[in-house]
Amino acid sequence: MRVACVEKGVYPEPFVAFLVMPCYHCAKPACISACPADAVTKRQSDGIVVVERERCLGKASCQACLEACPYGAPQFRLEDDAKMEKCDLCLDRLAQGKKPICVEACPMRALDAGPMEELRDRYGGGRVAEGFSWHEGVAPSVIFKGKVDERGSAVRSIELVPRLTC
Amino acid sequence: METQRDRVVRTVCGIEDGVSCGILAHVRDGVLVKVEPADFPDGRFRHICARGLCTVKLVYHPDRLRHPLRRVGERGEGRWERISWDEALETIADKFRKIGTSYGYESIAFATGQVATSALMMIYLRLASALQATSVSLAGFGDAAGPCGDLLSYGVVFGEFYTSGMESPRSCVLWGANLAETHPIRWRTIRDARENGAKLVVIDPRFTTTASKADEYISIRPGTDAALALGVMRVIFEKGLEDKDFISRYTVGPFLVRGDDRAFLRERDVIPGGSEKFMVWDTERHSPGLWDDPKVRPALSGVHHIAGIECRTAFQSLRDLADLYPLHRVSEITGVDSGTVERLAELYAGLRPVASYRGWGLQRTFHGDLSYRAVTTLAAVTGNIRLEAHRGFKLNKKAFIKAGEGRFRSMPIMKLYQAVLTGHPYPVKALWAAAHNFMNQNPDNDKILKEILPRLELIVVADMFMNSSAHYADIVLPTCSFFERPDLIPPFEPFNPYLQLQPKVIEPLYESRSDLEIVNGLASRLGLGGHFSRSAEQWIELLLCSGHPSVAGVTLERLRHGPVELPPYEAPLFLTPSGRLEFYCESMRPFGQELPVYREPLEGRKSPLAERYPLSMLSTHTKYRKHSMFANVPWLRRLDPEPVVEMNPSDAEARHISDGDMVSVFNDRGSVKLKARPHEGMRGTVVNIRQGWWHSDYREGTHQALTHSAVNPAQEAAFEPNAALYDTLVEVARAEER
Repeated sequence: MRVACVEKGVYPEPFVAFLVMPCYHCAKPACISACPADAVTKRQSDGIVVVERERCLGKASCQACLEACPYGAPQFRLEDDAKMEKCDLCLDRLAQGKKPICVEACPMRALDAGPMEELRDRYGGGRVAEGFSWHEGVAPSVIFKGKVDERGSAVRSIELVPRLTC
Repeated sequence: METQRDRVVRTVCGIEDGVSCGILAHVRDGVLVKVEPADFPDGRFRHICARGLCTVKLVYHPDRLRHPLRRVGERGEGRWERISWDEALETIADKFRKIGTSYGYESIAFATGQVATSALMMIYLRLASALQATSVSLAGFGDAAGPCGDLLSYGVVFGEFYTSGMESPRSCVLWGANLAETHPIRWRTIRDARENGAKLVVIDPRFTTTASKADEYISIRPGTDAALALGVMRVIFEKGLEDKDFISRYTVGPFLVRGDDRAFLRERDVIPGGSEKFMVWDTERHSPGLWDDPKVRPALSGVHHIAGIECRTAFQSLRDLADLYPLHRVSEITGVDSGTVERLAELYAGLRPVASYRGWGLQRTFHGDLSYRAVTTLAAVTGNIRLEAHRGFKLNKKAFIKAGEGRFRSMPIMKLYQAVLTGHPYPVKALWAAAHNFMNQNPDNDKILKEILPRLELIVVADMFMNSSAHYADIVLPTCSFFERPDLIPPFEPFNPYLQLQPKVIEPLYESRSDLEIVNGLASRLGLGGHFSRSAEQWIELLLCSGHPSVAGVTLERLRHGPVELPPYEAPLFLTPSGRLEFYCESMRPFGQELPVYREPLEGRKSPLAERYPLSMLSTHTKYRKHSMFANVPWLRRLDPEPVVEMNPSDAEARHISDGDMVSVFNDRGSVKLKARPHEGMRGTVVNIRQGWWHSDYREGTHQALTHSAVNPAQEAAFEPNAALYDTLVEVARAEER
């Protein structure tokens, strides 16, 4: 799971917000139309966007999905022949009636997952979060109840956490 | 022998943090393959952290010690020879006999970690008592001042339960506590409160992960929390917002204090031949009365002349103290503005119940016990104390620890320095460290290295790794991990209320042994084998037979079926000499600390050192390590690759330091070389190096070379002196400029 950290402000009034960047399982996924091998599909039953890795052409020859995705969700490991992989909302756990592991693991209780209507009822339909931009073209299936910087200070940095180099 | 290919064993995570999460260990063909969180009857205690998930990587770490080692070069040179267990134990036994004969057996000291969290580690105390040797208490390498304060306030060493344990608080105030990062279990209680609408206030010199989740963040100068608490109390008293009923009924507030010797007024002071009972001022009869007389209506404030002695109530004394902290003075000391102090007062008096969480960091300045006491007092005068007895549990420790007639001598770690250096109260010549990385975690590292180690004739380190301490040992003994031996894990309120069994999950790797086995082997070579003949399970059974109501009906067999929540039983509300919450402590009169007075940090901005060393250094904890444990685990190193010194960008700029620059952090005691990481989460003039890194992780030195080993006599008298690790002045410069 990729998480970005947005930093703003000056001590003693700094502002920090974290943006979770899994796959947003868009209503109109750009990765599906971009994939030359038809490896990516959106499930009819629940709208989860899944990748068939046997079909994927691999990191060295393609990466069209990653280029198409405005959120950089498709991921490839280090090897040249790595196939695309990404969040599938823990399909195996969903099948057992459980929430995705990130929802259960998050000690901040910042995450939830489920049918969009249910989430909207519970959390509202927010499309605004620090570091996030809404792309109508893909219509991401995500809502935010984001922390808002009331001071409106300028963003100093947005970087993936943890910071892997010093 | 494995009969099944796959097994799942419920055990307990053995990180010494008091949380003791239940974990499920998955074993395939005798190999531990993964761990995951286990359920508890109360689901809120199901948890695991990044460290817990990485315990597998500790077990199969390529650097694990595989067999006993004997030093062949100079200490610290890193030259070793492999020896057998027989030879190792025989060598140690010989040396023990020589040292015992020449200096007395008390010159042999055992510094053993985990005795509070893994019951069988107390086997070292049994060995120390059989030998009449010394057991070193390790609370003082950072965690003794809070207990010192709580022992005085509540009569128990860990009173966090009273200030933060209430159900459904309407506000949570975190004093120097970064729970979101360092204590996920307790953070969960805050999440619960937040989801019920509670307000969260975080007071810290750093804008921590926890602070980023708060409704209000209050930046404070390190070590000045007592002044803030007193300032908040002054506002409360001025507006008459204190909880008079609570103070009268549950604290020493109404007790009369003599003006001459500052002791509580006793009946015998007023009536010849009277009792030791405390006196109060009866507002009905306008005369002194007994504190426990139900007809007496005690006064909370005021000054009265009784039998020629000027007396005032303890609460009046507290008010007089708080009067010395008007808003402008509090702001000047703490750096917290007046409006914020007033808002805190409103919150403590209005948004009740208030849960006050006091972080472990709060106690790591020289007068950390006073910080703890001041926050407790603020909570008490506003009635924000959980009114339930602290139910300790009692294992049959005495029978376990005591071997025959022998008794060990106890020495606080901060007094060990002096004992080795000066021979007072007696010389210590042999040091055995188990589950304790003294070279890494104890302050004033250059002093240990240059003055203390050369005076020790034998250093034994029992550990899983060649850590910073083992590096300087004469004999290194490979211990096994908590998956490879059985143990009993006591509850630790308010973190975890369950007594749990930690069964052996896999066989010990290589030639590693449990500490119990090591002690047994040594004892038999010292002719003490008769006292060390029980198995781990037999010791656990013995520990459970204390006869105390807290463990009534708890057996090894019951524990095999899962965690046991200890039964409730009647216990006194407070265990202080008066039986009340004592914000006024008679025993602290010799130090002028009968009240929670504010004292400047030893190395604060008013110290003469501040001119040369203007930066206050903290060394806080992270979610990636438990002290020095896990610093060598690659999974976690990916997330936190190397030590850095965090500082405010303005402090960095003034020193021409940019992000990632190699810098030297130094003072008169020593220095450390590492990269700089300026960011806006640090208060100006405060720097932080997150602790736990091994010596080998720094480019040069260690942050513990900067910390000091000054002993606080008040803490020594009340409990044991604490290492003031966060009370350290330093300067930072680009490395090439020094």
